[in-house]
Amino acid sequence: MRRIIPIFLLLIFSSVVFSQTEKLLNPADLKQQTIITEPLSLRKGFIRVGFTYAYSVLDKYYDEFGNKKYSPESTWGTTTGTTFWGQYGVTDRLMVEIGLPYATNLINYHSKIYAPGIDSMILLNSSVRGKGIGDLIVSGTFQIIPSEENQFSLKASVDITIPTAEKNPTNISGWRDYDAPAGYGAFVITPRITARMVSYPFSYIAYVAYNYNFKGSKIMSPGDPVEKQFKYGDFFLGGASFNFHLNEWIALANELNYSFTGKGEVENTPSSDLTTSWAVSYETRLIFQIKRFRLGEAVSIPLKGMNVGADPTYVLLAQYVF
Amino acid sequence: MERKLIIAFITGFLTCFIPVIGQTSSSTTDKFSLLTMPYNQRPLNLYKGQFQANAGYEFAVRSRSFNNNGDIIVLKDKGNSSVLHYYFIELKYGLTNFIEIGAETNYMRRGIRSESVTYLSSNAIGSTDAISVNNLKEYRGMSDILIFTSFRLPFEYKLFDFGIRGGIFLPSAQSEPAKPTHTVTDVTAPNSFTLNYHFNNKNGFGTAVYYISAASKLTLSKFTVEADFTLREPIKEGTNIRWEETLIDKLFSYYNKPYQYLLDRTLMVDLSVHYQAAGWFNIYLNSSYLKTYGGWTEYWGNKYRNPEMHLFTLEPGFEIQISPSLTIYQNAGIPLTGKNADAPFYLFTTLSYNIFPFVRD
Repeated sequence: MRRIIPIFLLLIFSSVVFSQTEKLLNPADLKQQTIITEPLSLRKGFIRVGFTYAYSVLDKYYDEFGNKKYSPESTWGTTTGTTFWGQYGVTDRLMVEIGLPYATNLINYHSKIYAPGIDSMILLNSSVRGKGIGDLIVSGTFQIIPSEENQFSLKASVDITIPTAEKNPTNISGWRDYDAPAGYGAFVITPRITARMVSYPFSYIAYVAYNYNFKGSKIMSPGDPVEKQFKYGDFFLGGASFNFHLNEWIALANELNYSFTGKGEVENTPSSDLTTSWAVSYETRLIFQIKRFRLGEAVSIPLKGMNVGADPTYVLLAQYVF
Repeated sequence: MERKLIIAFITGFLTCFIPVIGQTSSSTTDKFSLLTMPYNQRPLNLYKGQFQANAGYEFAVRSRSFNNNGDIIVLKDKGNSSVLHYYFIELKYGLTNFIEIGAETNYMRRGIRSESVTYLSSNAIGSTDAISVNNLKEYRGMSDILIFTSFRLPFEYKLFDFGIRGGIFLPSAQSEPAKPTHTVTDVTAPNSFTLNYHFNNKNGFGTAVYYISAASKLTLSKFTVEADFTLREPIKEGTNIRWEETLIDKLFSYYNKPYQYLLDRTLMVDLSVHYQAAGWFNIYLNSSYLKTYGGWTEYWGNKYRNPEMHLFTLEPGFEIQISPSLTIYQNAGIPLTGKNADAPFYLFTTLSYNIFPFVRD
């Protein structure tokens, strides 16, 4: 009797553990995998199209001492960016993608000037409008340790930002009244390494990315008569996320990331306009996988920082796999 | 004869007993069924022994408002739009199938900027002095805790339900504003600088507030109509403080003065139409009417009536049952008409966690 009890308990325990295993997939299900179960790149011949829509406001910021402050002046700004993505699996381990962003940014400035001595009052209204197609992004991803049949996988990616969009301000009426460019004005290469561990229904992801900015030239501020040579400060991003299935088709991701931007240069001289900044942000994503269609919402919340915006960013994501 | 009597007895017993069994078996009482009950089949209150924790976040963009004529004012064109971050938590417990108790509170943060103004004047040496003034009113902190009890009709929900709720907002949160944190910046000359007024307000009512509400729900197949009525009424007048400041040699000093006030009476009416598209998915359109009136605020010893405010908002939303314990709600708010009211567009997301902590099956 004493021998039977541990065997019985072992059987109960093991049956519970094994009952948690991932659902076996048939080929049709491969296009319906979630962010937890899908491989780190698309399978051979698969095509995925989609967009991400990001919205944020310019209300608060972290100053040079790391204090969160409201923008004091009567200004108001919104930043809206939509990026359309297309991805293609060249092989089961190699994926190429292309992204085309569209920006709709707006900053309004409004103030009033009283000059009682000359019995005058002036209303000042101006706006900086940044609207248009942004720079083209092409990207390649290779699975170094493939996701297929491995719980731990590793991928390397390289993004190249090609300055195809307008880089200079246009329709300039004043230093705070012009159409801001949607383009970056320089080539950028972004290598990225991503590691993932899957232990269904959980996955753990860690990544690092680095922007190498090439030199470019553009009109740095609307009053400049000619283009100036510049180089943006290099950018580092690292983060880790803990992701899990809430049910078979809804996943929740929780990410903590750190970003750092180095000091930039204008005419080969460090510029006070291109200052050093950093931020620690928390991002939560809720992803719905409805057959081949994926719909997601995310909120990125800056927790600490220096010389960066302190407002959350709302992101809407939609994708479909063919 | 005896045999016929036995057969008649058995037949009669079965005739009576089977319908009784049939009635009772229709009511589901297992935890899983109750936790996964779709919106169109569940009553207004929680079930007996059910515990519910709701946590929500609202992100609102205050880019428009309605003036006292009901005209739209586009605040973003005036540079003084703002955002509101609202975090909400609610705990509820079903004492019986017809009585529920609960408590809720929230944390809110917003900063409202006024129009920046620059004053120019010529000085004795012939140059121009310029004093710019920025004004920011920040509202930040916990709000008061609401405790409440809800009652509903004492029978199983089929098509129609009606319930009432009564409660009180306990003055648990800070209501007196903290000392302002005004600064002087951009000093370019003795009389040329920028004044940044920064007022630090809190979110407490400062006095206890009654809360009563009534709700009804009618289901016809997959469609449900729900109507809610809520009234908030302050128990008594409150006393608060206003901060004043003096500026000497670019340094601020502060003092405060007390004043009396009576909170507005707040009336809310909601009417929503729900469609249960699947057992786990409910989509709805809510219309919400908000009105405040009857309050006053003391200025310089005189009582001034608060402007009457009303706002009508449309709220499309959905509810998704993620798992037996977890449900997500999300709705957007689109203000349509109003008077003396901010008209923010908002997104409100709530996660609801449900369990039967003291029930085994």
